[in-house]
Amino acid sequence: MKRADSDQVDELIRAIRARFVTRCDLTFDFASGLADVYDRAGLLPEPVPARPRNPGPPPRSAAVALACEQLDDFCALLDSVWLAGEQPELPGSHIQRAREVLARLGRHLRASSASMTGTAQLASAADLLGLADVLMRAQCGRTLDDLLTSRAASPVSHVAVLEQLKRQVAVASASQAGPSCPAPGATIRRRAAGPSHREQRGGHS
Amino acid sequence: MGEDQFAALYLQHRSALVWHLRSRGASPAEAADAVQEAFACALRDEAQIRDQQAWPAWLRTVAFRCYLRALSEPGHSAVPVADIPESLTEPILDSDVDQRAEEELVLTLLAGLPIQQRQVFTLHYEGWTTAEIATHLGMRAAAVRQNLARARSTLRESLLQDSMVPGDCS
Repeated sequence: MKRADSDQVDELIRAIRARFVTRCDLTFDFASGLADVYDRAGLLPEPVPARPRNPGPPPRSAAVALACEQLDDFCALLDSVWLAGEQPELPGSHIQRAREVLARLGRHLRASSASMTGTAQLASAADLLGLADVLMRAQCGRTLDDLLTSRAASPVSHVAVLEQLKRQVAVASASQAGPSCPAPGATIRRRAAGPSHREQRGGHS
Repeated sequence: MGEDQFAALYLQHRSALVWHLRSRGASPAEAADAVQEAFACALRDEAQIRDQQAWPAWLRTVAFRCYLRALSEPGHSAVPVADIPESLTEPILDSDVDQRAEEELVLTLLAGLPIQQRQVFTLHYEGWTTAEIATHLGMRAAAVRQNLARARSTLRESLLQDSMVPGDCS
């Protein structure tokens, strides 16, 4: 085979492989995938202990309005970052998906349907922003917080904002759902003993 | 390895590993499942691997073993990975369909290569040098070049039939 022919084949295969990898990177839900890997490895979310009842949640409308306002503010900040498109290394898809998750949570809160999903949605947003932060650190040596701070009037920590949102959403959910509302926040912790459910069914040794 | 480092490893290599398994004949579901298992093994066995540069080859080997193990399980069927959703927010365009058809064709052709040609070819496209491939596979450099040339030739003929590469004008 002539050199030019082999170059053509090389170029074509390389291009198709690169396109496949790029599309997978853009469309795959890495946060869920990573959670699945931890699950298979025997790392499970720590059970959330029962939370004492809040003796006096604020009036529903005020708590929900406060949580929604904070969600809207943070969504606007994320919009300003990924819509600007000034950073070629910016992992925009992760930021965009986190923003969509948070916006959905806001809509659910306003529709009085956020209770069980609030914690999961905030955890999902935290995962996505965490991955975006890791990518940014690896690719351009900047943190996500650097970028958010450059767009905001004051220093921003996305972890702190999400923690605050967690509390606000919990209060809003409590005011909606009453004492049955679950506590927010579940951290990943190594399971003490026992195989994962896949190992139990003989899927991997 | 910290959680951040592991997440970075996952982000960096997951999709390339899926391609690797697909090019060895795995279905999309089989490849996705085996790659998840390989990363789970990596989490469990991370203390055994100190050289960070060893991770890609280690993951590739383990992912392929996971794929083979899944194939050999009684009553094997593709494991649905519904808990790893892909984004459905982006519209699928005609050009996307064409591109995916091209990808599937190339993956099928790669999976159909004789094993040595495929091994050499896969490593070549992952950036390995001839000398590195020879060492890794325990063959001479000349044999690596020969397998590479044969693989290219086979692929070129197949791609010509599908008009994906231009033929000779003469």
